[in-house]
Amino acid sequence: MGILSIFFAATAKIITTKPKAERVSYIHGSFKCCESQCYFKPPSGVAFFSIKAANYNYNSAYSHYEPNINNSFYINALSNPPRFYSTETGEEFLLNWNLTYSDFESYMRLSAPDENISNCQNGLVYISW
Amino acid sequence: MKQMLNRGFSLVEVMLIFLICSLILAASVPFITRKSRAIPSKISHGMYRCYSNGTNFTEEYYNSYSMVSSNNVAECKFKIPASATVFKIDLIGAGAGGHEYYKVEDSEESISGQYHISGGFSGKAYQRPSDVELKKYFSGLRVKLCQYAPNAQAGQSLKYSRFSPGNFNCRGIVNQISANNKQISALRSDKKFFESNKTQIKALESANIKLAEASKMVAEYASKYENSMQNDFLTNELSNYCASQGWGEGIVIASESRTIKGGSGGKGGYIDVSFDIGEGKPNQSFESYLSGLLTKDYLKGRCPAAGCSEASFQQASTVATTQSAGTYAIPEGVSDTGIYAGKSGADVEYLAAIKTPDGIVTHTAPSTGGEAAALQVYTSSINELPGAAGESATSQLAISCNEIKPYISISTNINIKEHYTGHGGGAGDYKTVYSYGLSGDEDNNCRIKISHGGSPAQFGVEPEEDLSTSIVCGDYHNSVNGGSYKLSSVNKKSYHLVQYLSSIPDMFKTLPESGEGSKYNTNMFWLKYKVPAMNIGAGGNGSGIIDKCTEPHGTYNYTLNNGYRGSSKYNKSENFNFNRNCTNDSTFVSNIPATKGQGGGVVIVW
Repeated sequence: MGILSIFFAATAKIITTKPKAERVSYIHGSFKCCESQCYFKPPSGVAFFSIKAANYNYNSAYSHYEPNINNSFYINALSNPPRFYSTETGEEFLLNWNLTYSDFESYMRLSAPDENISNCQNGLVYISW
Repeated sequence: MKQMLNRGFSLVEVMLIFLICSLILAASVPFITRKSRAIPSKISHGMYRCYSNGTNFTEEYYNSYSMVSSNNVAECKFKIPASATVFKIDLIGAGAGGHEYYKVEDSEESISGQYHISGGFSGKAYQRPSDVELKKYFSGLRVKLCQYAPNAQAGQSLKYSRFSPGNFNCRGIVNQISANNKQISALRSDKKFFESNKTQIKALESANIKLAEASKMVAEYASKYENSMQNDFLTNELSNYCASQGWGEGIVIASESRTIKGGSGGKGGYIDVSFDIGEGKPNQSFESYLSGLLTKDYLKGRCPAAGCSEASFQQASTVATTQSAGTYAIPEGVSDTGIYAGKSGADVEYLAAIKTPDGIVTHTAPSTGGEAAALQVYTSSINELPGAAGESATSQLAISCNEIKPYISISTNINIKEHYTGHGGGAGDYKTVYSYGLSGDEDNNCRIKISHGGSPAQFGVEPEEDLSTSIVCGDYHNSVNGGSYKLSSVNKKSYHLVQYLSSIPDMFKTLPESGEGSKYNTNMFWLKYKVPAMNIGAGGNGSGIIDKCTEPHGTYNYTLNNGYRGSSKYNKSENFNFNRNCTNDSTFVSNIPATKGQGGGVVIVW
């Protein structure tokens, strides 16, 4: 009977325990494209995406933040400016250069020091979350 | 049954119960001892938009996939979603209204045109002359046309060399003197044996004296042939003499060159005709007659020498001539023995013709070429026979023989309608801001202020309206300015009435200038749902004008120029007026009103 008492007491503790408050789970990662066609499928559960693009030959770069990306799309990192497009809807999104390439390099040194961008000087799109 | 209840559990039954309880307890141990953890919640995404619909605001909520709600509200309030973390907030200010300004004025411009008989009408002057007007202006204009014939050629001149007695000698004498002088010079330069050479030098100098005397004898002989031709003298006389003396051939040391001139060629003739351009031709419109004048009735060409008819007249860019080669004619009484003569100039017969409305005029009198110079050579003398001038067909014209191309100048002063209109309004500013977490008022709302757009500005007075867009979420605040009014200048559009003379339009309509387009890019590429593009915050259109006073007014003037150069001008001039019967007042002129700017908006994505 003693054993049964311990069993029921433990069960009661589980049942009566108040759930703790919800907490948000962040996931992090990055995506790099320096080709004429890359496919990007955004992960779910991401707070916001940081989109960077750069082209050494034009001394141009682009910076943008987007909290809500829920479309998959293709990227042409070698066009000027880089092209985001969907083969399903036919829509496309063209960047407007708003940084210099050196600004982009500074950002990458601080935010993604392990990324090697030297072999992507003809066009690079870097998405991180 | 009662027996079974009174009997109790057997030992086997109790053992089985304990066994089952033990298994349950063992299986529950991991659950009982595990620490309680909260289940992570999924991050939510969505979008909120609120924008002016003119009188109220349209407020829309979207989740990750579609629109959740759309309401017509009097005030925009953003309900902050609990599970959102990062917010991208687009603020778009309202657009300014257009400028309600319009004015119509007249100005004047001077334009000109011409009517050439060779090329018809050109330029932008009021109108091309009518057939009656053309005949009226060209009437009495008598033009004079002419052509020159080319000159006949000159006779050839003749060049020859004459004998000059002091400058001939025999080659043997000249060579021997030269050899002696060289030897004397060599002997004198030999200082060592100078005394022993003296006798030899003296002998050579004596020989040179004898050779000089021989040269005098040659000159004395040659003086008898002073007027002879150089070549004949050398061949026939001097060389024979030198050979007979043992001094070799005769040679030239210097000679005299002379030229006798041939005669000049005769001057060509010319054709001189005149006719009255203004007479025209019966049964033919005057403009048609003028347009064909230079291609049918007034032509330069050529005809057969015997005469010319309409059928035989030939249009040619180069007038044909006949040319006969001349030869020197030996003067009477002169023997042709020993004659050297040049070639006489060619005679020219000019076959030109000019065709005028009155007929064809030709001139066929030839002009003769000049006579060549000649030389008659005798054994001891030369006669020079100069050439003679050719015969002229006629004398030169007193005036320059130019093309005659009369023309009419037309000068027009005509009005320009100037439409002045107000500019469109500027678009509201746009900016994107990011916020990591928002906290609202007691209802967890953000309060948003949006303008419905700026009213049109009346004649340069800017409305006092707040066109900014702002958002307040608790302590967080941000805003953006509305568009700017463009009142410091106005548009000007000019209608040149001269362009509408042939077809006067019902109205001149100056469309309003569009307001500046929205600065907000509604591209929703990143989202699942597609919302229509909106012109949030665009500027309102400026004003326009509808003008029904389209008749031209002004003056125009014709002037006839006969086209002569170097002669007195024959000009005629006359002025005309044309007036309209409308004015630039409200009876004929009205405006297209300016419009207000588009309202602002807020778009929040999380």
